[in-house]
Amino acid sequence: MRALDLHPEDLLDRDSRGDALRADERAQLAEHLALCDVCRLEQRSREDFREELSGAEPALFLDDLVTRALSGAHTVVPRRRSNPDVAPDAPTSSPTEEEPTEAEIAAALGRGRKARPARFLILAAAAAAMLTTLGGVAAASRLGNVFQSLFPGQATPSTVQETPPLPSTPAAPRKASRPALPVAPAGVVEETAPTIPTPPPRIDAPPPITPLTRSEPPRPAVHAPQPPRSSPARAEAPSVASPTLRSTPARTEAPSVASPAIDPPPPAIVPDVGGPQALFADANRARARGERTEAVRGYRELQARYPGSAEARLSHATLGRLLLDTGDASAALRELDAYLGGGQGALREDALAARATALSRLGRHAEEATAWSRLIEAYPGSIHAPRARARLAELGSR
Amino acid sequence: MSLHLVASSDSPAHARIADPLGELARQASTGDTAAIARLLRELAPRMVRSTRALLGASHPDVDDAVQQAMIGLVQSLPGFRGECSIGHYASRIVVRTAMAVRRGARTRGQRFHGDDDGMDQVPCSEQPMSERLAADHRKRVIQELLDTLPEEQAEVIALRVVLGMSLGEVASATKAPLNTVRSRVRLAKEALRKRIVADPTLLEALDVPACQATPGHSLQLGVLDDEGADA
Repeated sequence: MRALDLHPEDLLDRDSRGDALRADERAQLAEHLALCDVCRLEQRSREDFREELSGAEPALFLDDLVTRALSGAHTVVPRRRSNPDVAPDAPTSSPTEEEPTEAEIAAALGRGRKARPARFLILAAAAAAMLTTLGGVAAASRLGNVFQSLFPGQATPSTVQETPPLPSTPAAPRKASRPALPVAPAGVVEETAPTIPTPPPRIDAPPPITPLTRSEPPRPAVHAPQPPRSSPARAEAPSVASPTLRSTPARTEAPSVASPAIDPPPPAIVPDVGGPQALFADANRARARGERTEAVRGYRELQARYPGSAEARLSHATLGRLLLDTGDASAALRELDAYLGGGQGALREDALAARATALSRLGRHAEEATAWSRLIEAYPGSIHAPRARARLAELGSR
Repeated sequence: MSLHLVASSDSPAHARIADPLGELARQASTGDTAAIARLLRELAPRMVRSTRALLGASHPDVDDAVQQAMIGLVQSLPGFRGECSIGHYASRIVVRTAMAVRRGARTRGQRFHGDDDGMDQVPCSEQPMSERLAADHRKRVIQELLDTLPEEQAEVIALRVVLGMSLGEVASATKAPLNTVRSRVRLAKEALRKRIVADPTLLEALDVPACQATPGHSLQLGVLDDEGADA
């Protein structure tokens, strides 16, 4: 082992925590850092990540995450690995919460796998289905307690289980769930490690549903086209309790026949989870996935809903770049001008370069030259400077 | 289940834990649903940030990974015995979840480049672009290193470099002897040294001068090239 491999980890830790080092310790650390690129990278990286970890998150976004996690925690079948980290007296999952394997069922019945007749398979499947159902009911009950503790006064997700199906109500379009994350291989979890759950289906916060009874007649969907109020059919229509998140009050009385006006559609309530940060993050993720149309839509929505936010301001630069990539130089120029018009910004250097490029593509060469000059003047050491100078020379020679 | 806030005497690496969330964790570990909800809410900001740091802020699976880690925490609470802080316990779950996500993506041949250009991060200050690009480069090197290291080493590096834990805290969180953690860190650093040697631009990212971005990591060069390279 070389001397350079003897990294002063403790000193790095203390320095990272901000502890006061003695003069000799400080000298030793400085000497090592001067020689060791690895420790220098570690030190700088820890600072980088510390800054990233120090931010705040929107409360609504966190509440949404917690709610979904709690829902998932009670619907995911727990891993059946033995986990010595669990204290011997720790409560284990209720048997009704776990789907037994065929082998376990066979063992419980005292039969071997090979000797299992076909009839047993049917019994095993029936037993598994029954246990799964029981587990679901138990999980739903527990989930309801947790949900109520988080959001007192709101209907619990378990209400869904209690609501009978509405025969005439077309199924509402469900949000396509994202593909499930890969299941960690069985060997991933150490025996002493906390468990990583089997990835749950993405669970959106369930909408509160007005409890219905089976004795009520079938009801039309709230989103279905409705006849005018003056329509006799509408006047005789049964009352409707909204089974959706919308704030439409339950209609328990026949509407006034005298009113000739058609009910405007109930305003769509767009869940504002997370505010500008969440919108920005969604748009950025769409951009990262290469879904440019979705990204553009997201940035536009952010700018429309939170025009004064830092994210909206930054999105002008990001959107400008994105539009430039898609070939819409004119729209890109508008976005970049919006960003640069807001004063100094961290992306100013790149926005200036992008603006000059947009002008070039639009054939506005006089303005392009001005833009490149502006960039060089402001950022003589810019990574775009060589291209700016080359372009200026080219434009000057015309 | 009883929660032991003081480690046993035969594990000197696991020092006495003074955890501000210890009492809440104890209640949550008994199945108190309100306590579980409050605990998750307390830990959520750090879990979100940690996941982003490990995967990349704009990684498409960040939200799913956070949710998965939270579920893992809830399911592991009965096994929490207070030998480390609940925050470190949660951090370890986050690390393992995020690394599983990274490994899964790598297995599927996916590679995430979303944070390459720094265009999607709201700057806390007017930090120069060159410095932000260099910081992004450094962070990406660490994140990619996690994909290539053996699991135990990757976990130690993630806890130590990304989440900022000390050696003792890593030992406590992973329930590994301190010297084992030291050994894992040393081996991981050897791998990191090879990575640095193979990538000269990384040295520039270490000591980046003002107004000089890290070469090769400014997508603007490609994007703004008007000669057709900006597809």
